[in-house]
Amino acid sequence: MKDICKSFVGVPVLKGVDLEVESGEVHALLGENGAGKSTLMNILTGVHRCNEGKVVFNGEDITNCSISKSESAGIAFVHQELNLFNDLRVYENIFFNKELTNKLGTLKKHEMIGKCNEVFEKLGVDIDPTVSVDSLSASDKQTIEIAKAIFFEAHLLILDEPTTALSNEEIDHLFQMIEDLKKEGRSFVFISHKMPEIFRIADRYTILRNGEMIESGFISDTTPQQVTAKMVGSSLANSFDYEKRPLGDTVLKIDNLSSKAFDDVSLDVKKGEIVAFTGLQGSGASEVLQCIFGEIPPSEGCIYVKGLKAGKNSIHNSMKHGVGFLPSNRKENSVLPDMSIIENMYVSEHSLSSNKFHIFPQQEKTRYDVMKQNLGIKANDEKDLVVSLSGGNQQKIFFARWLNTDADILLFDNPTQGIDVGAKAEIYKLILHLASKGKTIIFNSLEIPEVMRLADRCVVFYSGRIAAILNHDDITEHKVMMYATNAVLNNGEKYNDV
Amino acid sequence: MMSDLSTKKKNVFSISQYSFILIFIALFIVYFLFSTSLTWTGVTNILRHSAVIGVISLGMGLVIVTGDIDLSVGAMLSFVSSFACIVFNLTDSIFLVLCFCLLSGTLLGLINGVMIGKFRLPAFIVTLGTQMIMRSIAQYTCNRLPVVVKGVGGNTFKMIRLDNGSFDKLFRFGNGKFLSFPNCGLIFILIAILFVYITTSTKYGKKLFAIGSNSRAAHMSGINVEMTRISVFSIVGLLVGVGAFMLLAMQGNVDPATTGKNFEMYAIATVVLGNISMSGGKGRFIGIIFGTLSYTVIDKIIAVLKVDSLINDAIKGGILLLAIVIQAASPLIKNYMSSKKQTSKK
Repeated sequence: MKDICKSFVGVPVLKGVDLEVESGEVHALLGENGAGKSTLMNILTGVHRCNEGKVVFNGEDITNCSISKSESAGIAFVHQELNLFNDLRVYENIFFNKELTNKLGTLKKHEMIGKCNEVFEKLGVDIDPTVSVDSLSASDKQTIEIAKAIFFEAHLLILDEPTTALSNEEIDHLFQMIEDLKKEGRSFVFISHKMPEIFRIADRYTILRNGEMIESGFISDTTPQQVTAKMVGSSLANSFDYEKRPLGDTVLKIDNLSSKAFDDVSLDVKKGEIVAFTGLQGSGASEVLQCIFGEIPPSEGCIYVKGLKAGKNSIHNSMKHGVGFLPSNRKENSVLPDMSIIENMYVSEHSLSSNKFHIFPQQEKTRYDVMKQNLGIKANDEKDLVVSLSGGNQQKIFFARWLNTDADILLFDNPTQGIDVGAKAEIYKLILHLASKGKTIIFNSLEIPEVMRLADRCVVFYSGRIAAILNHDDITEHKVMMYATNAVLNNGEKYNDV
Repeated sequence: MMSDLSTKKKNVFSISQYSFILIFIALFIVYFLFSTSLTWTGVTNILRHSAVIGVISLGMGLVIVTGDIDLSVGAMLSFVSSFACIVFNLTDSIFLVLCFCLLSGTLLGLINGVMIGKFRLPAFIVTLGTQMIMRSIAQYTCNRLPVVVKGVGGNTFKMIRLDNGSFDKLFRFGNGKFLSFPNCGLIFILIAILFVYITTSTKYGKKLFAIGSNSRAAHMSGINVEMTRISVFSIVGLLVGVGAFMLLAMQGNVDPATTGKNFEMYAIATVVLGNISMSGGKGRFIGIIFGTLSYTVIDKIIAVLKVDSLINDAIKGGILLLAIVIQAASPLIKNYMSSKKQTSKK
């Protein structure tokens, strides 16, 4: 791939990126969230079209070809979320839309099953091709995706964070498989955030940052520290609006909290404090927030809100204790698309005060106007549908939804997801303002600059456990990435200032 | 959302949202023209004949607003009124009949609700199952009971008329009038007003719309989706109980095989006619009142014309399709109008 440029609605996402993968090599594609890795791969596989540049595969120009063209050229994309039909059998999935048939169109089932067995044997896995996919483990599903690619003569396999759902043993097996296939001359583009894995499996690497290619080279010539530093870049802590605030007593105490997605999390949060959770996708940070809010039941451990042990684990109970939670994925988890702005703002308050049956529109309007002014919500009429607002203003409405319940412990999961830079800055200001008013805030964010601007403390998660708790002055992109990717432990060095 | 008429600009376009009123008026004019001697009684009788299906449609409206469906209402009406008939014949007490109707209706609704809300079973299947069970039991029981209990031979239930006048009292209530309006019609209107109030001005009402709009977001906002779903199905049961009581009061007998037959379909149709979105979260309950009245007027027109009543459903189906075409086309028309306006401004 040469000089790839891509912009979405005028916003440049890729600026002249080169990527070169040789046959029989594993090439690690590195970068933070939003660096442009997925877009680049989508251009390669024909999902998106590039504005400039050239894609050449095995000597053939396949720039801006269709998905099926790139597939037949021998490029296979193994997605992060696996694209399998859970209700179909294994062999049906592998041969989906490419079934072997005789002249009458009848399926040659035995032949297909036989071929599956051959490939599985070659890959050294034990999967029965006739069982339905939903009975398989995550790693088996991954294997099926890879088997699918091998079947159709893929020479280049793109693995997008293939290890997130796998156990260590399964990762070993996957890597063994990759090694074997490499020897056959197949190439891999390996997208991952986890440094230990990259240094174990990859031959070469390319680093992207903000849509630009930063560096490319041999893994053997570099170290995890150097790679992390280059991924993050030289951007410094931009904390001009952060001020140290006096903190109150402990209002939230989490004691050895465990569940499926996280393990043994303990934390004290003081009144008026802003705590940031961060970690890679699937690190468990979001789940801890959901657990505090009562959405996920803990398997072990206790939550104490304002010194009282939280009783029944339910959302309503948490709300009564003054906890509010703004979930991630606004569209799925927050927006009531058929309802007006004011109804969207009041829905939580209503569920708290539902014993007072009647709605007094005038009172609600007065309170809405105050909220609108305080949060700087730009809206014409409170009776317009909430979906008529921009993403940033919608998010402010959902902030208002929780402020309206008088919650003083606010949990925000990825609060700046999908909103533009200007609105982000306003949200930051809002969070700092709320904290100065004595609200306690825990937010989860994957964007480290955000964490640096807001957090008094930053809790870094790595695969369900707290990897480090950093104080405001210690938070740097570099350090956070080190802990979040587990690069620290693997190299035997630790930061002493934790 | 409930008072789009507040601003003048919206006024022009919201006519399409109130298409149910236009349809009702059009049908009423047709009825008026065809019936040679339409009296005030004839007009108020529309209310009387809308009463039972009307209250049931209000319940159906609640369910549909939350994004579910209840197919069991017709069979439930047959079941509750059949057994209420037995209760009357055994006790000769209007009070007990009323209690039985309301309680058994609520209980049956609760059973639906628990299966759907608590155990997350699909509403379509659950209520299809309870529909078949309830009607079958009502018919089975009818065939097996002695005449003393059923009140009459054959496959129907009839309330036994004793000398002490209980039955007469009930019958007089069911067919009586208050200020020249039929009692049952008034009950329907009162309940309808109550439901318009609940759905527009109470926190409970907003909850229903929230669940229908995005149940996940409703859950994350602290709404107890489970309990609300259960409550909605229970309310439907209660309303069916009210309907069963009115049915008995008006006609005094029940045929378990035909009572409430296809009522679930009529109820769904009137709800759609009333401009409530089948996917949930949208709509005004005032539409249900007009939807129900429109369907009753169709019955009246057919009666006046002395056409074979079997053509009834064809007309009702046609009106339903017409209504939904208007609803689907109105945003397109709206866009066209506003784009035209913009170009003319330039």
